[in-house]
Amino acid sequence: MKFARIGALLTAVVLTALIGVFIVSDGDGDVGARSPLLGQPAPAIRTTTIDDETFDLGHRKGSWVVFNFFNSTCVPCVAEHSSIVKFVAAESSRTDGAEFYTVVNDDSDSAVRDFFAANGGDWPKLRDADGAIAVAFGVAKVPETWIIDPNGFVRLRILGAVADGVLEAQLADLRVDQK
Amino acid sequence: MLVASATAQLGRAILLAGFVAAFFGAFAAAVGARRNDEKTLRFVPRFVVITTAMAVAAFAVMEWAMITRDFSLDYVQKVGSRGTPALYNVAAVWSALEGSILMWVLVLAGYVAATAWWMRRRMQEPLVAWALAVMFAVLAFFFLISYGPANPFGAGQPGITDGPGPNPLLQNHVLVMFHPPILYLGYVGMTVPFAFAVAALITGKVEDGWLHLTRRWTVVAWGFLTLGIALGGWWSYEVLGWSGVWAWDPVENASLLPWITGTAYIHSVMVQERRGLLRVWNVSLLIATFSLTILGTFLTRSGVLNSVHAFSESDIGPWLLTMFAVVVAVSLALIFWRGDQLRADARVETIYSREGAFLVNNVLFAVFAFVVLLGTVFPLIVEALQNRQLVVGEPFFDQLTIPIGLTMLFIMAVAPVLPWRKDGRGTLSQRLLVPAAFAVVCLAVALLVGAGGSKPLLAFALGGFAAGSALRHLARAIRVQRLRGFVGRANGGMIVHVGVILVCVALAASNSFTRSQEIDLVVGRKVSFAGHTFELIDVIEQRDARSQSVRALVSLDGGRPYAPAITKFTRVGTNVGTPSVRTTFTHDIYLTLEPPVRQDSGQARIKVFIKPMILWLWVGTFVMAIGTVLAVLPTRRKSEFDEDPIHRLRDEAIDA
Repeated sequence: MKFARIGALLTAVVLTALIGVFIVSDGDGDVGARSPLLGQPAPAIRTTTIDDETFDLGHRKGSWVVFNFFNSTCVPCVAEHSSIVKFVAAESSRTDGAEFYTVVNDDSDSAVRDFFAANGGDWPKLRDADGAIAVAFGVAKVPETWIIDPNGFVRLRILGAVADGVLEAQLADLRVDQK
Repeated sequence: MLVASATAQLGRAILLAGFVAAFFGAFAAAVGARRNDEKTLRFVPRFVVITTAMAVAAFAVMEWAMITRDFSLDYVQKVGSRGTPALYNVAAVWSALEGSILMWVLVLAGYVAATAWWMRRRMQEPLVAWALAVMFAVLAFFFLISYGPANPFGAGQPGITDGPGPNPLLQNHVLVMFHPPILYLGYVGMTVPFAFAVAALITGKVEDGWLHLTRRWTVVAWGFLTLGIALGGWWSYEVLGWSGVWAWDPVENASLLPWITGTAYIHSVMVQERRGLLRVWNVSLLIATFSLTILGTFLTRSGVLNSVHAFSESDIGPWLLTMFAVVVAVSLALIFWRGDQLRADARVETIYSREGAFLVNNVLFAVFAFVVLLGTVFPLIVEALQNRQLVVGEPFFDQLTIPIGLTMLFIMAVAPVLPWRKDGRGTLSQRLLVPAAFAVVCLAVALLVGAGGSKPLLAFALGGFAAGSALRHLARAIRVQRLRGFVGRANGGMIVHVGVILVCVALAASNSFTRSQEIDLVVGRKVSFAGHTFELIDVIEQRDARSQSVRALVSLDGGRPYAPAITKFTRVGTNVGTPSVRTTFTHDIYLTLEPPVRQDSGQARIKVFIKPMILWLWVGTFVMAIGTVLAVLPTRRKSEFDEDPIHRLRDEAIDA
């Protein structure tokens, strides 16, 4: 039957094209996760640190900013801590080093202080008492790490714990893109 | 180098043995069929026994490792935990990629064994042998990816004595025990009719005998798929806390696509059995159904699409894509080759006949499947061509699928009263009298309870119209056949229709008339919304080894308290909301607790959804399941479609 043959050929052409699309689509193989915020200006964030200093994301323009949503009882947050300490140490030795902030998610100031006293990490910890920062970024699950570029645009979202060298590599890629 | 434990080595050896047995099974069946060699074909059952034993053994070893918390395995480290309750721990085996592929292997091996047992006396026939060869080939492929890129028996990091446990969303409701296995029974079951279709093309036995062989298998697999999809919707409703059952998520679409083409096949196959028409189309639908299960698995398990279900990245993408390409290429080549023999002797004379209505039904299903497929892969196409990301959301699917759904309801009303072969326009108005009365009553009731809006009202009226038609058929069948009027393809099918209509009407009502509001509650103060009062009694906290949860006790209309909760799974760092629902015949009251919430604060913010007719969604699914069972029960006749004049007269009496 002619129709069958023509149909088979046409289907073959269309499906070959579709398979081609699947082959070229690189997918989500990289560490970055999707978010409608990517490439958009970061939400305006004003809060205080657990040491009662004010923080305004708008004033941080000109530097790379890294937010790490954190809770001292969450196992993966604890697991990634040593990698983060290394990352922050490496950044602080650069002239254009990124500023690192822990955003405290549903946890008390004292618990956070105890955790950092025990495990190290001398960077500002931001309060997010009513969860507004987490909501603004769409964070449902800690840890999450976000990178915001010197122009104040959201560039990367990483879900879950980061391993050694992941943040360094991602930020290096972003710095290349920025130039 | 990680040292593999005895369990890991045992598991891998079993998978390898399974692969080898399936490969040689396919080889023996194909060679035996080609040479028509009985001696070779006698080996086939032995390979069936070995593959089944290996699949069962591999799954059992995995379950044993999970139950005994054998943290020497990477997979157990990923999804196991000492704190997971026993029930969820058993289900943890299929809570991530590697385990779910293992379950695929188990279910497919079961289908191979069932097919071989059912055909044990006809193993020598080339059609049957080729079908088994195809099934063995598919099974070998799944054994291979389970042994290779998706191996659940990989050795884990040494020194780990506890893990995070399965995804918290998968340890929150008993449905995780049932939804994946039942869905897989449907998904994988589509391999059986596919194998027979390919075998028919290879042997050139494209007459209609193979259809009779596989019809029940298709209907049973379709029934499981229906039930699996519905259980997924129920799980979403009970666990996810957004009060919806369907989000057009890629994984949901991946299960819907084979369901659509399978449904189309179940209808169009009747045209072939009765009239010998649509042969190429039917073969194509079976091939499409099977390839879509592979494509769906590729889309959702390879990481190319983002989804709540996309477990994790893995390397099985290229394997599944290759499998998809091979299946499609081989099938199309076969159709191309056998196209001439598939020519039908007759044609559809008039569109106003039963076969004409089935034709329209199939065009609609094809468009439906195309829309869903396009919406699912469109982001990938755009990304490939323009290198930007885009999301195809609910509005796209709703706009395109609602008109299709409404048209289908209309066809569901008209098709059952149309006669085969003849132009039925003359008798249409008389036969549609009862259904039309149903439509008017449904519309009147809807208007009476205050429903508005053209689309939902149209859905209710057409739902009544279609239900009237189905019930008219059933009433007549019962009058002629007594209790047997519930049994058999046509009668069971009409019961399935009633279920489908209930689901459609419930979806139309709940999607169109849901009311929701966030309410701030303070202990001791009543708040009213939508005719109900809500009063906060207390906010309590519960802790156990793996989680801490806060629940608000809310008294509804002064009655017993409902307790929406937020649970923090500390090992994973996730907050999971658990809704609390009061179900009545007319509507559900669905409560979720909104963060942040503190114990002893005496206040809580809840979100209330008033959702009409949700119960009927589950009732409709249940009716569909019952109808499916009744449709596959044997009837007294040898074949339902023999042209025995007495039965034909009876059919016409029921239709008239």
